[in-house]
Amino acid sequence: MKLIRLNFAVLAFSLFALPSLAFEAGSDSIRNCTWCHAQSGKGYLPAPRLAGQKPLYIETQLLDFREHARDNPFSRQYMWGAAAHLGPETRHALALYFAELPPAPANDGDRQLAATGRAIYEEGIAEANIVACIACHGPNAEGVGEIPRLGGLAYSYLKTRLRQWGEGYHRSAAAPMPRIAGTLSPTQIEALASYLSFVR
Amino acid sequence: MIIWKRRASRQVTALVVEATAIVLAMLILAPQPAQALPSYARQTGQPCGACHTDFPALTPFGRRFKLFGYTTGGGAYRTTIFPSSSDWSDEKPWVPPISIMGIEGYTHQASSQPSNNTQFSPFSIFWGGAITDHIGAFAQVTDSVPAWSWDNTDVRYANQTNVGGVDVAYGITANNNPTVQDVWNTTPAWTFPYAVSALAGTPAAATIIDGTLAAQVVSVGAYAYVDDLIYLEASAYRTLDLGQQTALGTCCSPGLFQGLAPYWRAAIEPHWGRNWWELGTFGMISNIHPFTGAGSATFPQTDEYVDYGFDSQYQYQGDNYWLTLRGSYIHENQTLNASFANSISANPKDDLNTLRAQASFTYGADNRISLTGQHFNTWGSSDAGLYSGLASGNSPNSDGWIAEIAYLPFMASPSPIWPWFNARIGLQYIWYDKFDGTTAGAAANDTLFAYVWFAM
Repeated sequence: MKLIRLNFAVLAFSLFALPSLAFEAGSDSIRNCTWCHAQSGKGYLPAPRLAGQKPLYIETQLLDFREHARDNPFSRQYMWGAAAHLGPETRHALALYFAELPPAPANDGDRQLAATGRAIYEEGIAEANIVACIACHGPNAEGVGEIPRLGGLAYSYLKTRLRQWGEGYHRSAAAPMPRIAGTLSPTQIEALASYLSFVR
Repeated sequence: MIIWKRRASRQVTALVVEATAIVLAMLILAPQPAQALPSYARQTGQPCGACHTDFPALTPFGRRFKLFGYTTGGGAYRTTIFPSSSDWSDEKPWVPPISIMGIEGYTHQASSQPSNNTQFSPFSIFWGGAITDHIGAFAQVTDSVPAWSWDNTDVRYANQTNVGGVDVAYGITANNNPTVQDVWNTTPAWTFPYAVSALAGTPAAATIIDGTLAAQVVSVGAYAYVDDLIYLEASAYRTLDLGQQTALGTCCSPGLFQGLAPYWRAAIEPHWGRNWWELGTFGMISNIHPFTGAGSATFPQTDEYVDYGFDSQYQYQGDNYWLTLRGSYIHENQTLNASFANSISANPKDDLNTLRAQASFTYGADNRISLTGQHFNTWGSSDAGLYSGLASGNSPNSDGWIAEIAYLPFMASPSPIWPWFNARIGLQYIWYDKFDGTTAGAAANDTLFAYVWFAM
């Protein structure tokens, strides 16, 4: 009985609350994310950095997790549960919060491969018909719209994601990543991931 | 989820009636799909394998959940009684984070009379989860037949901040068992084996920090977890008096502390890619007035125990498996002013050491299959007074091996019984090369333990 009365009270109050949400660092929903993604949003592998990520990308990924469209192993293991109970307003507010956090590069790639990775990023691989990453992800790998920031993400995270694109794991708007990532060799993936981990 | 480890004397409490009512209330709630797990899973919405490797041992995220005060949410249920503004859009109901567990086990040990036994023990009820946004608890009461007792308890306040660009989590822990608050499964309270036979005889000698004072002490301490890398803690323990221990069903400690017993813990855990490697130290200094055996009377002198330990844990996470290697070493210096003066010990000073080395491999959806092996070794000073009751008559030395295979059937899909139900079906064998100071007859203590451990 107490629980029912409490729920009615919450529902009644929510009708008078402002429709939009804005999170602060210590709020419940933020702490549910920083549990794995770190207080500053810098990431805690295998959970990637969220700080400075494109808000629309974060929002669409949270929806993909909820709908099980993003199905790589760690998404299934951790994010399906984490996103299952996030409503649209909460997803939007979380995305805005983390997008505003200052990004810092992981700097954990192989420096000897970084130059090769930069060349692939900026010029593509003509002989393999691979377009330059810069065309979609931007000159500083900062991303745009729904296309994610890659700059500064952790080497192992980028390497795993590129490998999994090629292995056929899906998300709702996948093209052209499966074909591109599936064409890259392991060495090229390591080079790209190394370069991007140093991009500020 | 959780564990039992040490037994103490017990008595019935009124909590049984209240807890039963709560459990019955939960049974009529509409079940949630997908995660067949107890209270932490209800609170977080995460499956078992997010926080546990060789269940109940912890993944890095499981360690963070504990360090952050058991308060992280994200599941179908609200973590606090009163909703905060950030959760209004989700309008989640609140359910008290109550769980229950029990173990039905078959034990075969040649030295026991009879040598084959089946027993349902222990049975525990838990508060496992958030109380407020920043206060959470793991609190356990156990019925190990024939009575109930206070069991492992850790209540903590935790918060997070950023200092000069460095993430810092900090908190306060109040608990009743040295190392129960620790997050690496290398320290005594949460080390393997996690399920043990309630009937099998085990080696008698143990350091003070190695479970000797479980549920017989209380403490307050503060900790900090800096940059997701360094853990520092300082706590102080005091013994409950004999009346309190009796009332809580945990009587009796070896004696009463003189003043407070300081406890320290420091660990560093760098991680790169899918690798985590922890190196740490921990310890405690206690001065104990031993009980004389006449009621609550204690000797005027004290026995001083200085325990210090070193531990290390390496974990690697595959797409579908975890590999964990753990090692710990505890050394205890005993200055037995009370025991020697009162002819309990033959020596004024003794020492005792415990070494454990373990490998664990978990595989499959949510780590449903677990293979674990451990070598254990306890050795120390010979003392014809302290160890006169042991098989050797003077030596605390015991060593051997443990192997266990376990299967958790409801890790990747919900149980048909009830979505929050889960079970661990295990087969464990302990080999003794030496038992209580002698190799003669040690093998008679070898133990086969087959168990079904359920939780909901």
